[in-house]
Amino acid sequence: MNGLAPKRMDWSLTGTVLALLTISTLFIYSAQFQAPGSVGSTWQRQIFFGGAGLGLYLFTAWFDYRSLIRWVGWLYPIIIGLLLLVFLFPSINGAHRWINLPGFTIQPSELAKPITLIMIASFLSAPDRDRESNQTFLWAIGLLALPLILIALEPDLSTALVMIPSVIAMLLYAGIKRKWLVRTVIGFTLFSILLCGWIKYEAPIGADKNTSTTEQKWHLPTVPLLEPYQKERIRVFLSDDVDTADAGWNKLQAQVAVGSGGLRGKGYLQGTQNMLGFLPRTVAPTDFIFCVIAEEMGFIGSISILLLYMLLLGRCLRTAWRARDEFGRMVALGISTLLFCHIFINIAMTIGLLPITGLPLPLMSYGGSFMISTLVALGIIQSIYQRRRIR
Amino acid sequence: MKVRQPQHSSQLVIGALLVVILSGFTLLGTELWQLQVREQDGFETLFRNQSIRRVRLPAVRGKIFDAKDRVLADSIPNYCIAIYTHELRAPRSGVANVLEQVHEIWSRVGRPPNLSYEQIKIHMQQQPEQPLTVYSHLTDEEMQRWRTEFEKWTAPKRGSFRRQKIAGLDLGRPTQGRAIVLETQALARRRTSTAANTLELVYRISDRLNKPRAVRYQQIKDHIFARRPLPLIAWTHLDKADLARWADRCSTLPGTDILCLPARTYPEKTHTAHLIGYTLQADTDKSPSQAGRVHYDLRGLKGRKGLEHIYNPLLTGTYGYQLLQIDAAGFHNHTLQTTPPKAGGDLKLTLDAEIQRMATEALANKQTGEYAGPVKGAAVVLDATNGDVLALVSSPSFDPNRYMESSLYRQQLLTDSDARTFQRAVFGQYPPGSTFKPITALSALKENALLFQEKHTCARDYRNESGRPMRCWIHSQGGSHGSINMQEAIMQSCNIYFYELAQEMGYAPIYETARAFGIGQYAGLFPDLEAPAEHREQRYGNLPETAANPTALCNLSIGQGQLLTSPLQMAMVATAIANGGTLYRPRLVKQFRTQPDLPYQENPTWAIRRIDVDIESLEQIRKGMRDVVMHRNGTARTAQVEGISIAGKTGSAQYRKKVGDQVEDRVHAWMISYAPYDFPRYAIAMLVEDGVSGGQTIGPRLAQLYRMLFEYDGTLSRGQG
Repeated sequence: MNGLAPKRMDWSLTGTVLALLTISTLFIYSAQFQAPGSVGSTWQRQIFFGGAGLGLYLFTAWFDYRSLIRWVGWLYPIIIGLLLLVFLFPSINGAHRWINLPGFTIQPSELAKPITLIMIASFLSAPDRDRESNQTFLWAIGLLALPLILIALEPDLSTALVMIPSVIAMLLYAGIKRKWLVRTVIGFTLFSILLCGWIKYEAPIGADKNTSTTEQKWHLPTVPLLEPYQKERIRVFLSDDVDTADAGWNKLQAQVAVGSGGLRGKGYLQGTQNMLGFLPRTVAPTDFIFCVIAEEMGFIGSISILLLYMLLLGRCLRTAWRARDEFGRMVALGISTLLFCHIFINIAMTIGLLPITGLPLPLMSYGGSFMISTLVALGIIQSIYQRRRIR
Repeated sequence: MKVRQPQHSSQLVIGALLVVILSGFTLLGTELWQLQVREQDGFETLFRNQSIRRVRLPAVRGKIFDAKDRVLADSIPNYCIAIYTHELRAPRSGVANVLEQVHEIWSRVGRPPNLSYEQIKIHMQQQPEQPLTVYSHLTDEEMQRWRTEFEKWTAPKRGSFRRQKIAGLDLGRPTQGRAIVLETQALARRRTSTAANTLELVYRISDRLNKPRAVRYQQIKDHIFARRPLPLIAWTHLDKADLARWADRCSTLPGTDILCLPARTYPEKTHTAHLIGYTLQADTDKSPSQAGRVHYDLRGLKGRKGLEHIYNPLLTGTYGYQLLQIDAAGFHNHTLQTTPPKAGGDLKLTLDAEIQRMATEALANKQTGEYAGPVKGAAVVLDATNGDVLALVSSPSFDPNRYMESSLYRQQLLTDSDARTFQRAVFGQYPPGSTFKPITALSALKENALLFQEKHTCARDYRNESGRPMRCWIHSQGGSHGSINMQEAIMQSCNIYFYELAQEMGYAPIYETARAFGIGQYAGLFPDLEAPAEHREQRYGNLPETAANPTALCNLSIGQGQLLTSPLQMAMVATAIANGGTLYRPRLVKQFRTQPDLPYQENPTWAIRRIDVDIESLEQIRKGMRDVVMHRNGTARTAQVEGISIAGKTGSAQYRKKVGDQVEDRVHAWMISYAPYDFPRYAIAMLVEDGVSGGQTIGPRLAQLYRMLFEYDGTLSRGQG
């Protein structure tokens, strides 16, 4: 049944979303602020995206999430088609991530994330599904692998990998055989440790055949498949003494920005680290927006943002808890995990805990596709919550 | 028995997720606490002056050697005193303010003031409350100028009626008697501008080094206005004594440092100027990957002409980067990290500096009948066996060392009437004149090999097919060549013979042969990197595809008319004739290496094509060319060298030159040549603009060059002949 029931809506979720959107706009303005009168139009576009996203949020809340089971059978092939279509468009900075339409561009990988989760949830929650059979597990992995590989080929490895924990959470919930999951997780962990080790000790990029004749030093062969910049980021993360002048610059500058904020911060529009352009201007409003907040609002500000996110995730988990059916529970669980991964990885990378990746901060970072996909996902949560079971 | 317990499972998974989320956020929270509160001091001081400066370091530019390892282009250090202006923000200094104001007045009076820096300092120490006389005994003219300039200076801003105040100067009394007086007390209290501090620093360094100031106040102001984050180079080319004095007396001054900029020197000076080219300061790196990330771009050098330009990427090497930390006082604290630059690679040329010098000398040897002024021309010496460039001289030349140092010299060269920077040997376009005749003869022999026996008469009243009278050069001297065969026609350079030959066969065979010899095409040296591909050929001569009428055909057959070639192309023609018909691409770079510690790589010799000529026919032409020099009636008897058998062909290409209001008939004197005749080693093309004739103008020069060449390689013993 479609419809909105104001009394049954989760108003604290909506409130948190509104609060985060407001803060986002304020700090995107600040990130672009260099001198009075010289602010780009980014913050206005962010207001537009936020507004459009909120409309979609209300629409999805009104929409009965259970009919998604039918819809997703169409949405999933469409999004796979879009992910293929991306390769027909010219690459930007060596990556095929965007579809250019007149006036704006869309990034199908951002939309693919919730749709894939919903697809897997609808697959697992079908009433006649034998969840303990190997076949079910392999099908679920297959449904995940198709968009994941396409996104990884763009290349946008972090966006692809961030879906994995959500699927694991849903599979755990579905009661798949534990040994499968344990094996997968252990295998994955071992693989990444080995990969990191390999990248750390492989021959550095500059070493070519000419120099190796003079110093006969044994080098590991280079890691295949990964792009050089991806390896560089991991190498920067793994060691402290990689050329700070070059590859480690962003990491160092982000840390200095956060660190120099102190307890109370430098004040709104006072973030010199950002204003003077030490934090690269292109990424300050997108992936490094948290740096701007942490610098200008200090520890108090950044902890408040963390608390807001905790509240948001808490409400999502509460929805998973209270959902009336398995499908709803799985979707809510998947979305909560997805959001958590984004938030955790983005903040952890700005403070140097994780390698620099291109994962944006939900509801904060500038970017239309991701903003709309996040708000639609939260709308689905709201829709599930409205139709929760009554005790 | 499998009973699903979704309720239980959901509790477990949601609970586990909650725990994960909580611990994740706790981790982030503690890390933030650690970063922002515990270590805040560290980061804040790191941040306070954002004390990290990223500097781009140029690499040492590669060298260029000649075939015998003599250095033609070398890198030397240029020690400079740099001033970091943004670190000169000391609170207030009366002396700096007075200095600044004195310079402002100076620029308006137009002559230096009557007091020194030392006097200002003493005045400001002892009695700043007293007024200071900056100028005294002004002449009427200076008074007048100062009054008008002062009016302009203090003129009210738009929309205001009040004149602007100038600190230290009385608005009502710009002059006091015949003096200009500053109220130093007002200036002592003012805040100091960065320009004023920089100016004072320049004075202080100048004082301590005993070196006159090298930057003007206006330059300082311009620098602070436009290039604030870059260091201001206040002195360049410091010698050892200066450096020692600086270390002793100036190293404690804030905001200044010694910088070592790369510089280039060309030991051969004018001899190799055109082909080596020169370097000027490189542009700043505007690539998007570096934008905004380099604070100090110590710009290196960029080749702008010649080999320096063409091999610029190889010679430049790779830029390095350095992260400097600077403390609050502006001192260079310590170097965080250095990615050293990678030195550029070297070039080794086929050119022999000694031969280059000989060719220059021979070319400069003026003969009777030439015009005054520097010799304008070119000499190209190629290795006849493989097309290696042994000398490539364009005259007149310029000094690349002066060119790089002095903008005045650059300005002079721009307007120079002799076009000193023009590389005549490669880019010059001249009608080849009679030096083209061997090609006409060869194309005729290709049509019919028996033609060389045929005799034509050098008739004085000769008319071509369209009835137009045409003349041989000898007619104007009252003679005639009589009835001659081809060998004699080449030897005596008879025009009529070639007119008849050309009219017999038409233009197409001549065009084919000339094209095969590379006339009017890009020769393979000094590509024009900027020009679009379709315009590129136009810079290297002109070979018309058809002749419009018999007269044009006749003119083309003796190398006149629309035909244009460069000395380098004619030297290639001589090489091809000398070695039996192989056209080599002239090779200038013998070896190169991409880094100074790597072994040299060979730049291979490259034959463009085998020219399709009968070896017997070529032999006939070669015999004719030998007679040109060796026969007692040859046009270039003057080129004979005792003991060496030389072949050649003279040319005297007539053209019309506008001199003032009149048009004069002038002659480009040409000669192509090779020697020794039996086993040719050298092929030479030489050209002098506005000469008398090939034999008279070039012949003696060529003899001199051959004599020196064969003495140099040991064929002739020194002092012989």
